[in-house]
Amino acid sequence: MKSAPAVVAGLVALPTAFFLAFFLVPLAVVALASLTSGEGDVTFTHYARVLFDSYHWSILGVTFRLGLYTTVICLVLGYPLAWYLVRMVEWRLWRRVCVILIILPLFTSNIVRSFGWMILLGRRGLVNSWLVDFGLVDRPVRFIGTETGILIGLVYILLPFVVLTIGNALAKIDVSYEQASADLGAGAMSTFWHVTLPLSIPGAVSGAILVFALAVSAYVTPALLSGGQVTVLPMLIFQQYSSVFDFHYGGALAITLLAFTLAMIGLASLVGRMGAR
Amino acid sequence: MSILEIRGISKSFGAYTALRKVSLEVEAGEFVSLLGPSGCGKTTLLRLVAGFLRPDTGAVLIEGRDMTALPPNKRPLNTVFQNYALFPHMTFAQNVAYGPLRAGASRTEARERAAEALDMVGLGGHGQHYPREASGGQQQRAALARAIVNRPKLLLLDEPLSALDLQLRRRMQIELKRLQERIGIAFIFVTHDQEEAMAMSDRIVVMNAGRIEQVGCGGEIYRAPQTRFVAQFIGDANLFAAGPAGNWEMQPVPAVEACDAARIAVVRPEHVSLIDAAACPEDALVFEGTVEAVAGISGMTHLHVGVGEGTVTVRILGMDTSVSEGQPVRLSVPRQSVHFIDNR
Repeated sequence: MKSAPAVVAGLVALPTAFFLAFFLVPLAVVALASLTSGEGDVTFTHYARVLFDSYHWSILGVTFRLGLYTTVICLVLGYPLAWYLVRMVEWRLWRRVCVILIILPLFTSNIVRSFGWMILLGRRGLVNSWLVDFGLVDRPVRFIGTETGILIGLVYILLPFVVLTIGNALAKIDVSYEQASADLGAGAMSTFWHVTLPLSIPGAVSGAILVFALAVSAYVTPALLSGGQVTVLPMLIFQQYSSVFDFHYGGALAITLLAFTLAMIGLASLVGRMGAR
Repeated sequence: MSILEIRGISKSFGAYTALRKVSLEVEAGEFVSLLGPSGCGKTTLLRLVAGFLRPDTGAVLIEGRDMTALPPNKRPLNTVFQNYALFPHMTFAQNVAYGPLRAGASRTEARERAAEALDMVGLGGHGQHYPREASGGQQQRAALARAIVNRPKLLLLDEPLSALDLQLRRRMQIELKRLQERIGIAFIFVTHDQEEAMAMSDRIVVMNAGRIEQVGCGGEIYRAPQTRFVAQFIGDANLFAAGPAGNWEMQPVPAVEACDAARIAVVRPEHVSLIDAAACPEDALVFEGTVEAVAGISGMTHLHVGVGEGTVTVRILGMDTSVSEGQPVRLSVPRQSVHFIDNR
């Protein structure tokens, strides 16, 4: 079917307008603010302030370390889960129940779920009382206010994304590839290593990119679980915009986060493309 | 000792029975085709031999060893898949080297053997291509190279030519047959195309509804079909309702499946000839009829002649223009070209 250009233009116009008005324009406003002083002169002082200060580098370090760990843990936990769902569950009803269980938390507010973890991970929380009861630790472990606590919260919130993307990738792999591998003498492990894993890498990479981007830009979970002890970049940005009202400095922070995130994602997709070859 | 022995295999999928007590032996170096309509069980049988399915009953023996319980990777055979199943993330060379590497060959050795196998199928110098960059014919050859590189005793081919166009398919049939003779591997070739089976096979196994109907060389199953299914499935056939042995009376009937005659007479269309109204040939059956349709196809004249309640198909070499629709004709069938089968 061939569509008339006018129809195509009509269909594309609305999303384009939306994208322009609510994404590109605000982004431009932020970028512009980050490059101007209060008087409206073009200046790089905000960026200089961000980049020549070890405090910012340490925050960037915490943010990206949390992002990276979250991504790796999500991949390690999510891959077997996706494998179980796609390859091992034979009863369709049970698979549907599993998928719903994985997706359901996404329908609940981040704030509620992070609060839940605050309670679970507190000194007298369920996790600590179990750890003590089972004799795994002598004294309650401090989770709230540590990177570990934030990491637990982020992994919990972002795990569904990798399970769904990897599961989708695994489901799309034609069984005949694995049969061909077995036919050529490969055992189950060898087939997984040489055929299934490489073919699922594009799905794993897109899941990883999604999780990483969401983890480094997460605000609610780190803010609630940090207990004021740990600061990540989004918290700093929020502070600048909401309480300090320094849109220039805040803008420079936001653009810096964006630039570093894009660089990491670019690197990841490069790795993904090499893996797919 | 036969290279492959299939002993009384049955296989059901839920309520559907795919194979019923199928037995077959294949000799070393033999080219055997499994021929039948879709759903006849030929692909199921192939997958059982490959080890992708387990039979409900029966056994698969390769060189006398029971392989029924072994997984595919422990069986000394290889498969060419219908969709080729070439690993998309590997080049042709890597695909072909996969087998030797799994068998424990060194990288250098695997690379050399892959290059050799690719040469053998006419893909020398194409090793660096990825499957998606190659044509269907090239993918087909690469899949073949990958399957023969480990020099199995037995190669299973699941309709490997069905995705190719007619010209290429004909060429590949000849190449495949030549390759099979050269390397001396037994081929089990699944196809629904009887011409393909006839052109390549030493023996053809005709299957229908989960059973083997007949096993024989191409000429045999055409000349002497043992069942009504084979007579109707292989080539064109005129089927007549016939009396018991020794009785030469026979009648064309509209639906031979429904008739209660003791035997069915099979007459191939090329054995029926038109004769003069006055002629009375010896040792031949004569029918009077009316031409219902005439068609000239590829240097042959096809006639449909209404005889009694049924129709007789006649095929004459050359473009005969002397007959036309509605014309009364006299048909003759030499007794020696009539083949009888029991009506079961």
